[in-house]
Amino acid sequence: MGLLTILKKMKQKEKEVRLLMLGLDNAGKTTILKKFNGEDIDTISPTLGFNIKTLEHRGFKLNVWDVGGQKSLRSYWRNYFESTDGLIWVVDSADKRRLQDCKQELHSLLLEERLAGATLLVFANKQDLPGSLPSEEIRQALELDEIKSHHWMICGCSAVTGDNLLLGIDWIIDDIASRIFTMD
Amino acid sequence: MAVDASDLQDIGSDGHDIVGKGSILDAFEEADEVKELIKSLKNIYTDQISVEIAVERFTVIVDNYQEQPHLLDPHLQCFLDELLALARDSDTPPALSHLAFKCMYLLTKSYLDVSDKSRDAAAYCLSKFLTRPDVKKEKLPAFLDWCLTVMTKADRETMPGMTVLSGVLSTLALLFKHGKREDLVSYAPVVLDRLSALTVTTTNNTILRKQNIKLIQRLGLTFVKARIATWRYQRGSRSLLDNLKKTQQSPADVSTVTQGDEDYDIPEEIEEVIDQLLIGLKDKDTVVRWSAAKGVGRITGRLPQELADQVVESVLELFSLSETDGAWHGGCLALAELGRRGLLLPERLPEVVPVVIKALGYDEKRGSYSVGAHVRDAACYVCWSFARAYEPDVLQSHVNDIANALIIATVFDREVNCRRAASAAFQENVGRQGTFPYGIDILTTADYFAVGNRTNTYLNISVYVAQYPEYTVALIDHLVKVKLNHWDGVIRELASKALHNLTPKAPEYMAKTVVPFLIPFATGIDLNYRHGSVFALAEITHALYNIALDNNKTVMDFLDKSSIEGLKNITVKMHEAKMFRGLSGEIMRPAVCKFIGKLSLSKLPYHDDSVTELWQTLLDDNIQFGHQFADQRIQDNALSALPSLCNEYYRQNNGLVKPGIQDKVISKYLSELKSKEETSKMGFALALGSLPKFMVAGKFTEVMSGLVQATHINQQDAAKMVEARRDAVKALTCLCTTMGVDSNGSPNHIICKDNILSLYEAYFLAMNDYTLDSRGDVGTWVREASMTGLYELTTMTVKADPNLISEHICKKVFCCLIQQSAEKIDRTRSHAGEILLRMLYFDDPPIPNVLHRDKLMTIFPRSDLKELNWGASSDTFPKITQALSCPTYRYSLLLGLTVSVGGLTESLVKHSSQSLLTYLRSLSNNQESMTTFADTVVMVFEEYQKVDRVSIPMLKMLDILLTNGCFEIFTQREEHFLPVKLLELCKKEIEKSGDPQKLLASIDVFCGLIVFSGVVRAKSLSQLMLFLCHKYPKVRKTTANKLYESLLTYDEIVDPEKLDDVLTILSETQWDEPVRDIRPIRNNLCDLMEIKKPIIKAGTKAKKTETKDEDEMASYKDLVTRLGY
Ligand SMILES: Nc1nc2c(ncn2[C@@H]2O[C@H](COP(=O)(O)OP(=O)(O)OP(=O)(O)O)[C@@H](O)[C@H]2O)c(=O)[nH]1
Ligand SMILES: [Mg+2]
Repeated sequence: MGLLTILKKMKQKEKEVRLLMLGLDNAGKTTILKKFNGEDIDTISPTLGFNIKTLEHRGFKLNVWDVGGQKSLRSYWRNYFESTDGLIWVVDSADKRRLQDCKQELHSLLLEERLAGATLLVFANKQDLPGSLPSEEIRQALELDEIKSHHWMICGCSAVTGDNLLLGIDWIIDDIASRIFTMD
Repeated sequence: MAVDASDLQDIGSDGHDIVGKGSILDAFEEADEVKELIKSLKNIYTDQISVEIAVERFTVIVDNYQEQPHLLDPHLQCFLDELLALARDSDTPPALSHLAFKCMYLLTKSYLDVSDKSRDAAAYCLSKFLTRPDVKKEKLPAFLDWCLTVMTKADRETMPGMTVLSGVLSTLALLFKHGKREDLVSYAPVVLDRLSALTVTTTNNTILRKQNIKLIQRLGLTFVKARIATWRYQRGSRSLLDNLKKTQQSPADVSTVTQGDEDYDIPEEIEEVIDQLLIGLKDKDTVVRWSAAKGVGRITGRLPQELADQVVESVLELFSLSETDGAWHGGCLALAELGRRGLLLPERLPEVVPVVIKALGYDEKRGSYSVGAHVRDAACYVCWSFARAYEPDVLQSHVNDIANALIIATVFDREVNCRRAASAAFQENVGRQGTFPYGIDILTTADYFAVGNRTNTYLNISVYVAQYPEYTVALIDHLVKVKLNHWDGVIRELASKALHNLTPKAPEYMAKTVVPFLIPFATGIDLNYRHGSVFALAEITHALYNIALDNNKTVMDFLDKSSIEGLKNITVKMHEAKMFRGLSGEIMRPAVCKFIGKLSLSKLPYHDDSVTELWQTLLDDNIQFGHQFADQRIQDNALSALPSLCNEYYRQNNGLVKPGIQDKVISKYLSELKSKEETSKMGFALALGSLPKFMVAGKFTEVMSGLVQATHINQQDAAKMVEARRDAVKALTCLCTTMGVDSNGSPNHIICKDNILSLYEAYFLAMNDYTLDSRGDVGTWVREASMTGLYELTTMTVKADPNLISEHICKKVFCCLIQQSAEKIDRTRSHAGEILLRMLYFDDPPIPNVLHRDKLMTIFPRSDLKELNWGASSDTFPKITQALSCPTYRYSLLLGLTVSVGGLTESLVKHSSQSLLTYLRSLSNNQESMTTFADTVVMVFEEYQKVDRVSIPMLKMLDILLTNGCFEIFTQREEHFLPVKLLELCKKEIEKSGDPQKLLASIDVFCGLIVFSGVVRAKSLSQLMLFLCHKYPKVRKTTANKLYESLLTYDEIVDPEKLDDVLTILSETQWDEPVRDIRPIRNNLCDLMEIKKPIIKAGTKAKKTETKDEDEMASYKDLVTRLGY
């Protein structure tokens, strides 16, 4: 039994969930992660590589991966697909200019074979900003209704205030758990 | 899809399904029956059949309640009472108590059965039952007592005994898992005692050993109270909910919880438990080690710090070279488990990390292979778990060591799973620790996928990583000290090449430290290290030379005197110690050849030193005998070292060869070229071809004619020497490219007008090599080499002086290529076709005198140069057949086409014949062009009369042409030369032939020829009449069939009045009856068809025709075997 098998088994046993958080740069991924982890969110700089944090929640162990979203880094996203249970796609709801780009990246990501089984949660982040689009409009702009290959949900939120973050996480965990840990 | 109500419903109905499986029962209906069954046991236990029936019934009943075990509850006590009473009564004979146990086990087990989940639930019920306040006093001791008795009595030598033991162990483990600690703790010592006495660890049965460890673990957990070790290391609390609820941000509280001074009550037995678990860690089976590792983790968590520390201490002791690989593996698993649970305190890390790093490189030799991949993988697991367990500041001081070791494993491990595990562990460390030097840059290069390809990790990724100074020396040192001494030769070579690529990252280190370090090993005791060192020294020296060259220096600026001397002495010492003999010699030979080549290329200052004579001898020896070894690279390496050696050490400053050496080398090689050994001949031909120009200058004529001689077929050993001929042709081509062209030069120095023709002649002659042996058309190797030669020679010459390419030469070259590009072997056809087009479109400058250039360029537009797939017969034949319209190439092309059209493979025949027919149709019965074509057919047939390679396919092709009416145009004029000639050639072809293939093919042609009225028809029919009485029955039958078909097809051959009779005779006669019975029938047929009856000639022939039955059988047998019926 090698490391990679051990990881799989352990995951079952200890109710481990791997969440991969992606999205364009400046969307607020790292802010969300730090918020989850109870860290200071005032001193965040763009992510050049990635961060992993493990969090306990409702008896699950969440391994959250936050990977940098700058264009030059996107080709490396594929390195992190392996054994992902849930994909959290973070959108800067105030960045209307780049919604098209955002849509394309998301849809091409969903074609990835290694993400085939993953649940998708879209965080329409930065709802606290005055000019931000509501989640309904983001849903249309990203053509989420076209997605037939994954379970998905969109959820407006704010990493700064913490609004709705829990709601989204609870949903994605429920969805994953009903798939993976049906035995319990 | 988005989640909606229907999804939820799905889940709901699934859940319902599980409940709904099977019928739902309300009460335990068979209670009385079971009671009776149990009672009856003591009466029936001796009767095998009754026992089986009872047990089966018992199973069926109990099975029904699997899903509702609670229904059994009220009765369980009663059943167990009965069974225990039976089992414990000292008067009960063993067989009966065995049976009682079986039922009890069934009751528990089958009622506990199926998935682990329901078993747990059931065991839970059982333990609840047995530990109920009212029951436990009485039943629990009895049950345990009984279990222990059975356990001790069970005969482990037998299958049933093992099953019983296994049942008891797992039942006990479940009991101790689910029962209340207070209820069980008083019994644990005795169970442990008895269990230890059993020494299950020594059994060969893996499952038993695993259950043993599980039970021991459970007992251990019973001895000590469940508690969370207050002393354990925690990496801060990280509850998502708490964090989100926090109003203002504060950093996560990282805390190593202060030591609590609680009371620990640790019974003595715990020592035994831990001992057993430690033994389990060394078990030969992974599953057992796993169980033990988990046990160690769980129990340690309940111990006071002091004791826990002792456990850690003991685990660390497993990492000793005197322990097995299993122990190392178990040790790693235990460390990972302890780390995960926070039981490895940061203070311990300075001891633990070096051990883990050692395990990351664990590779123990076992003869010609080694073990340890699982240990290395588990060590990656430890590193992975550490990344999660510790805060960055705790690991900080070990980061460099761990990073280096993980990188080395990621890049240089032999096994892909270990490289991947290391890469995953590295990733985890980078992501969580964030302090790994250049972690992200490295990861993006050495990711999970990239490390899948070992050549890539060794040769490229290693170089990328080595650009970061934190890793450079560690990578190099690992290769030098570990991988050059690896048991797998492939790894040693890869390591050497990696060192070549790494040299620019640390040239000084390589020159001053690595080279002096390796030199002694190159002639040391250890064969693997010797091999690896020689390879590596060759590669490193050459890399240093390249760096020196870029900086206008020499390699001597890097290497000191003693290294240069040391390198020189390596081959001398090896030679003196006779290290080239035998099996170990076989391993050293390719390395040493490479070494000589690389050192020569690096211009080491050994000019005029006797070592170069030794080198020449060594190379010659490997050129000559290299092929005797399985390793093809011995000769290859020797041949590629030879020109380097010559260039560096045999050339004077004025560019001329040093006196004496040329004669010595060339005359030796030329005389070896005449060797009777094919492999020597091959080796020395290639050696001559590889010589640099200055070595051949002045002796070109001699060398050339030697090689040309070696390309000639010598009839006695044509097949044996085919590879030697191929290599001679290759060598000739090599030599041509080395020598160059100057039309007015001297034939002893260069290709010129005086010798070019003989070179071409040699290639043209080689184009006729159609040697066959058991491997098939092996001559094709020679022809392919020759076509390459024609291309090289022609393009080279045209660049120097186009006038040297006469029309004669050019025509011949194109004829050869066109013929080959219509032949049947796909690979050869591709080779020919590609060269044909490259020559056609060669423009630097264009090749002069290409006849029909425009036509060829129309057939093959420039785009075909890249796009045409010559191997596919469907693509090539429609094109190449069009060239039949070029008079110059018609003959050669038809020659090539013949073997394809008359070939064997279906698609080849189909596409080539269709293309030919299409071409002929395009001539649309133009008398003149058809006549020219027919002339060519006759020419080919005449030329290859009785050459079966062409003549048999020719017969088949003629059949196709005749059947398709291609020659109909010639039927109009009586006695046209074509049918007359064809008839004559066919008859000659089968004359005295006993080859059934040929005879059968000719029948078709004769049948086809009867369309030509007059003498051709008459003679063809006569021939067919002869065939009707041929000695081979198969020939007779086929003739009858074919003739029948032809008479149906063509009118007016037989008098219509008699046609019916003729056809009846042909179709109804048993033509495989003896000839003497058939002859009258045949003669009758002659009369009907108005053909002269064949007359039996006088002499032996007459006798032969009057075959005896026996003879006939013999010839029939002969035919059967030849045709493979
Ligand atoms: N107002 C507001 N600002 C936010 C919110 N989430 C993030 N930001 C800000 O957006 C900026 C970018 O946030 P990051 O978390 O670094 O974004 P990221 O997705 O990790 O970006 P990359 O690492 O480059 O992929 C920061 O200045 C955050 O303070 C939010 O919910 N509301
Ligand atoms: Mg970020």
